[in-house]
Amino acid sequence: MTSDVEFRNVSKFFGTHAAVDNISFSVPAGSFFSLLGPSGCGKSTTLRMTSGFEFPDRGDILIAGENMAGIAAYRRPTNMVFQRWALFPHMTVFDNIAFGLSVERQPRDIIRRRVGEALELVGLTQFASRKPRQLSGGQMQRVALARALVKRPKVLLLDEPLGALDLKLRMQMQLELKRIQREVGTTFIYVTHDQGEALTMSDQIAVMNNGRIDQLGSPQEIYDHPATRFVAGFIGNANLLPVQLAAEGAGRSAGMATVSMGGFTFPTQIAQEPTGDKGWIVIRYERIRVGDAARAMPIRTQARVRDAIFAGSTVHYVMAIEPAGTEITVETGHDGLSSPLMQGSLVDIGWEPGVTRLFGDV
Amino acid sequence: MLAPSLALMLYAFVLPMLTFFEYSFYTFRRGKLLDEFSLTTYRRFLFDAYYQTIVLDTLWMATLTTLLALAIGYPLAFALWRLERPWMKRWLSLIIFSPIIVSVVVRSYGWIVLLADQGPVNWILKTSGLAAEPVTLVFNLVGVVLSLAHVFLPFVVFPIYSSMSRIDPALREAAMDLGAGWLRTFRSITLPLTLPGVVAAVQIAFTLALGAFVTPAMLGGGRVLVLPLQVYNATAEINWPVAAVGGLVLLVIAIIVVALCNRLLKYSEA
Repeated sequence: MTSDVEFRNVSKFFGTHAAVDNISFSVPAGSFFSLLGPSGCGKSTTLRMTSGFEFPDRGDILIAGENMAGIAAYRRPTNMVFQRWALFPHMTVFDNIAFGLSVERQPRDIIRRRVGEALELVGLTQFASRKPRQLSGGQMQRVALARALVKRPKVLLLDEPLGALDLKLRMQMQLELKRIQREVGTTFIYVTHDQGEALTMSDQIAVMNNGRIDQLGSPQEIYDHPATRFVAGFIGNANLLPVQLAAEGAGRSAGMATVSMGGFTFPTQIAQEPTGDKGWIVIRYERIRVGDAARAMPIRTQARVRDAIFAGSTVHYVMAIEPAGTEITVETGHDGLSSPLMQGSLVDIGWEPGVTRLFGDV
Repeated sequence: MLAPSLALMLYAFVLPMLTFFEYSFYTFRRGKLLDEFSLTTYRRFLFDAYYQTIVLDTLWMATLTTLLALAIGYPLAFALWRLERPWMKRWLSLIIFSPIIVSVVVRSYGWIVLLADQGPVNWILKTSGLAAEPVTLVFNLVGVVLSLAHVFLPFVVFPIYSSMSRIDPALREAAMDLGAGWLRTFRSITLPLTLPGVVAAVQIAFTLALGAFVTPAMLGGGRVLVLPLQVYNATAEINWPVAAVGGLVLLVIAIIVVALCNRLLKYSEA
């Protein structure tokens, strides 16, 4: 598959601090690619280097096979949707969208037609003569999208474009963005700190941490098989529990190890080989079964309910695993009929051996 | 709370204005002020070529001063905005402020020395071969306009600077991202968005230039007869009607300029 954007060993320093630390990745043409991470992880710098607002100190950036070294932002085949949309306040919606085309000195009728198409794509045809301040957040967001797409960029860059919208609107725009991406077939590079957003929209996600890419993969790969402790903790809700490894070689088979936690011994998948005899396992809240469902699980123990948090469709329990009292959080579905478990009650909990992942002690 | 300041305004501003207005209808004949109603002074200001020239010269000087102050002030505001180091910003704003720190008389003498036929500016022009004869830069309109534009700099730079610093930096990035180079970005984004600042600067510079007295008196060398000077001369001759009508004409021009600018401001912000 051809790649639209390729980073080769790219680093960017601000002073002595490496904002982006030797990263390499390639984005397949026509895909929805997300850069996900907490603030300060280097995702925005990565995006700004792609758009040409920043230049790498080391390494190469290729767009559509062409090296972008020394090529200014206004000469790159990329367009950007800005965090707060950056619409030109003194121009109408039409003029905002037409700006990129009029810079290219396109004929008037072509501008009118293409702006019309772009307005239609985002469903804002009747707002063409409005000024940005007369629009709602969601509408401004669509104008920003239309303004960037009207230039037919090879790659569309989106810098947390939904961050300023409220939750309901954000969900709706996620679906719409995905629809538009399918419709135009342009490569999208999407920067976000919202894991839910990245999981629902992306074909591929690069999870960034401290200027590096911790893991690159499909949403499911990243969710089910986090490569580092950071990824496991950042995406979804997961318990991080300290464990003791069984004696050298004992209980080892094809990617599995035996660990114990306060006397409770069980097998786990290895994600990262620990250097010593201590490590951490990660298990997601919703992978733990409770009560009757737990009894069918190969790995089983008992835990005491310390706290129950009702969240509508789910219930979160904070439990202490017997006998050592290691705290673990469990998420169960709520059926709308049964009442949640009582505080202080002793229940069975259990899980499949494949759902825990072992990480080193770093 | 408002009452004392209103009373002060009434006594120190409105009352004299009304008195002035009354004087404008008096008659001045053979060096004497007569309590005789007449519209002669108004007629002279409107139709007499001598007074017309004074009014037009005043407008011309104010226009040139405003344009020069803008031509120097806008780039300075831009530089102030783009400077990244705080200490550089501090020094530049101090330099821009310096003309109003110095007394107008001292500053005017400074300009006289600087612009004189034997002064440093003419020396540079002569030694660089740009001019064979000394260029008359002072005791004429050139000197007055230069000196006024100089002192109005802070009033021009800071409104423009403040409108620049209100621009979201992402807007210029967005323009560049859409293919606009530096010049196009400036023309389509920065300039239109700083127009409110420019209009405010014009308003201040133009009305200040209209009322300027000391600078035209010192640097004009008697060859730049503007309305405030005419008003001063008239009061010296106790020709109250001419002084009053001159003052009123200044006031009307200032009001028109302010109104026009306000209209423009509304338009440029819409």
